[in-house]
Amino acid sequence: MTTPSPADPVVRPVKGAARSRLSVVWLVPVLALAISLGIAWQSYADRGVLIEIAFPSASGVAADKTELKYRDVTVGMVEDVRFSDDLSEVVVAVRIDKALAPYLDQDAQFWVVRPEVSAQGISGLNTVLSGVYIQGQWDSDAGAARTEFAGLDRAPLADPSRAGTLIELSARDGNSIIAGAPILYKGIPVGKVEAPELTETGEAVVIRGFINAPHDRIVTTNTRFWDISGVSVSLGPGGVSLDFSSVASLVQGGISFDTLVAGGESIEPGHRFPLYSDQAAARASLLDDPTGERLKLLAVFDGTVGGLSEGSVVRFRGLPVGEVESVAMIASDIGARKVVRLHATLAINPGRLGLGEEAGSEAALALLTSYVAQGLRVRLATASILSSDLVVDLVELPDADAAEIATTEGGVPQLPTVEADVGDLNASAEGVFKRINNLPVEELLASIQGLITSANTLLAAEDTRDIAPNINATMVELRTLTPELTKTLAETEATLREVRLIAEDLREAGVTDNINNVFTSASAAADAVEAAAGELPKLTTRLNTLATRTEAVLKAYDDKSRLITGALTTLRNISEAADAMRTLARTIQRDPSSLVTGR
Amino acid sequence: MSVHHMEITGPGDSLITARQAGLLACDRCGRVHDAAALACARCGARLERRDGRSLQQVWAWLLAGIVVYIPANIYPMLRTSTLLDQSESTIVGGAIDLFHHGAYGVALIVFVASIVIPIGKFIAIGYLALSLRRAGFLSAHSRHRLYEVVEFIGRWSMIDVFVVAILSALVQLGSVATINPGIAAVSFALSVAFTMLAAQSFDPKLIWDAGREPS
Repeated sequence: MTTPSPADPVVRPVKGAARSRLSVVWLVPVLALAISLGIAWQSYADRGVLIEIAFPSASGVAADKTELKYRDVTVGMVEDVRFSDDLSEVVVAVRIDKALAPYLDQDAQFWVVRPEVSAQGISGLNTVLSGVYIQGQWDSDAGAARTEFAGLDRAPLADPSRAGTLIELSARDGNSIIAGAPILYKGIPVGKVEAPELTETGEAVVIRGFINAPHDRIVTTNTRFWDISGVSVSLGPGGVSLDFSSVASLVQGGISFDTLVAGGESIEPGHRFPLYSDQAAARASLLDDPTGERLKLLAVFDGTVGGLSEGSVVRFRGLPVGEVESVAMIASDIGARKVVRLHATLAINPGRLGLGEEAGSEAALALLTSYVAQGLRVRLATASILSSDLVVDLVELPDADAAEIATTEGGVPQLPTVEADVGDLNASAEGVFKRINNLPVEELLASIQGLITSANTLLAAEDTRDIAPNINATMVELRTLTPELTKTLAETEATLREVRLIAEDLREAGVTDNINNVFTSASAAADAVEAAAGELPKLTTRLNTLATRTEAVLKAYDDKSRLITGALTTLRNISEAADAMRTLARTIQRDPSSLVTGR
Repeated sequence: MSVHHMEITGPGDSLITARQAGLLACDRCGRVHDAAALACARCGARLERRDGRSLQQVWAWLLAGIVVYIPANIYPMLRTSTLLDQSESTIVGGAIDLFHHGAYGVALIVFVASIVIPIGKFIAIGYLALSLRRAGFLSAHSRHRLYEVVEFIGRWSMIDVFVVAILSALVQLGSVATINPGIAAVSFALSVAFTMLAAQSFDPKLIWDAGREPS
């Protein structure tokens, strides 16, 4: 008997029974670890470089908020804001993109961008909403990378990534220019300036400017810069004229430049130019090569040199060839006497003497030496008829005593001088006034007045009526002459008043453009005087005739009567008037314009 | 042919398990086989026996879960870009931010779901696995209950991942506001998944085997 029994289990060997005791699941944590470490390593490797920027203040800069931007692209983030060890600065630690780190070398600049309202517009407006950010700029050349930088107060002038040329302008003061003022060329802004800075010695002001490419090509060593800041108000014959270049330059100041002479060399970045006060000064300086060699000469003057100062012009044949560099008083002995003389040091620009740009001071000295042998002398002259400023004239006087250029102790050649022919007032308006006053007009007027009075007395006298009829003719003539004389007197007085007015005008006009008008009216006045003077000889002739005839008549009456005395007085008066008129006529006719110009 | 004695001597310690009786049940159809059988005679399924590899898997998944949980907390979970600002927040940072903004409830949920539960799971699974070797202070029953809780609650950790996923999908307003998931979101999701797998790999029967190894 068989009892049913469960079927024998089918025993099959498990596939892969020989596999290890380790589960494959262990691969998962290994893989997870590998990936985690991979991520960690990658983020560590990609982590930017930490740089530190020191700012005087860091208003608005916050850790993990403030970004560092380069060309408006975020390339870093502020990680930490702390103080420097001595608390003098705020150190901002910025994690910056690794790829950019090599470019952060010497020339990297950083500044905080904040909203700013200026005369030229509003900038950084986006930071009102987004908060401030740090802007960085650097060139595209990788240099010795640094991690510590000094931040700037404000955006720098020149972006190294922008083409252009940096220039420096030296000015006497920085009153009119503020940072951001435009540099204009023919009225077009082509650059900007930074805030003026004092030089280390404090003697001058340096303004750094940047001229954008391609306009920087215009700038050569012959370029002149001048200030166009503010407003210029001039009062002239055309009324008041108000002049300013643009509203921006009115507020911020501005600088204009021009290259008026070709042939200048191109400049290196940072070339220093002088800043002239106006366009006229800039143009006047154009012939000067500021770096050129100057010939130093000494001139010694005995008289007063009031009006001669540093910068006074040295003229040769009317054209400026140099300037007075210094004026000093130096005592010297002449025999037993001590004499104080005035030493003026003249700086002559050899180029201005027509010797060419390359000419040195020796060539100029040689030229002047030969000129001195021919009679070149130094003489003081007034700069213009309206001012008492003096200029140094190199005049040629062929008749002068022989002289030569002497060498002084200091090695500076000394030019021979001649006595100034300038009186103190020779060419000034004051002089005109004085000369007019010096004319013998008063005498003439007095004598004519006297003649008229005595003639009237004579005619009114009872005795006169009894005079023989042959005297009557003389009397009649005297009677007709009297009104004529009165008229002439009035005319002369009117003309003189006019001349006086002109002289007043001249004096008050000061240095203005309408000097030409003054000259025109002055010569018109001179013409009027001349015309009036033309009448004088005729009157003189008639007076002479009258005198002769009166004399003849009186001879007949050889009497010491009152009539005769009166008549004789009249006669003398007539002669005096005739003389005075002759003198005046001669003076005026000789050269009417000398009344005004004094020459 | 072999004969098995099945003695049922009452509740508690007097119970013997199938394993102690030298039997092996099929996980699929429930037929009981001799312990030596490799495949079910009825349904053909492979017969699983507790061989310690289960515990290996638990440890492996748990370790993987812990490993990916580290970047999940270091790296940002969310990248929020608005018109004015761009910010990244980690899990803890987000919870703290919410707390500072006064959203205590939400902060608590985030904190519990993202920090307390995952870490609690690591500890719980680690404890359960360790307690198989050395009996712990919890009874087998308590440990079994702990296992049930761990398995049930594990999925709720995904709440943070869902929040990130939904926010990223909804808040895409161009330059005005954009939310993008960070590396941590993926790590965190993986960590939760791994710990769930660890919990699943854990065979609760091991709890009962412990201390009752046939001597």
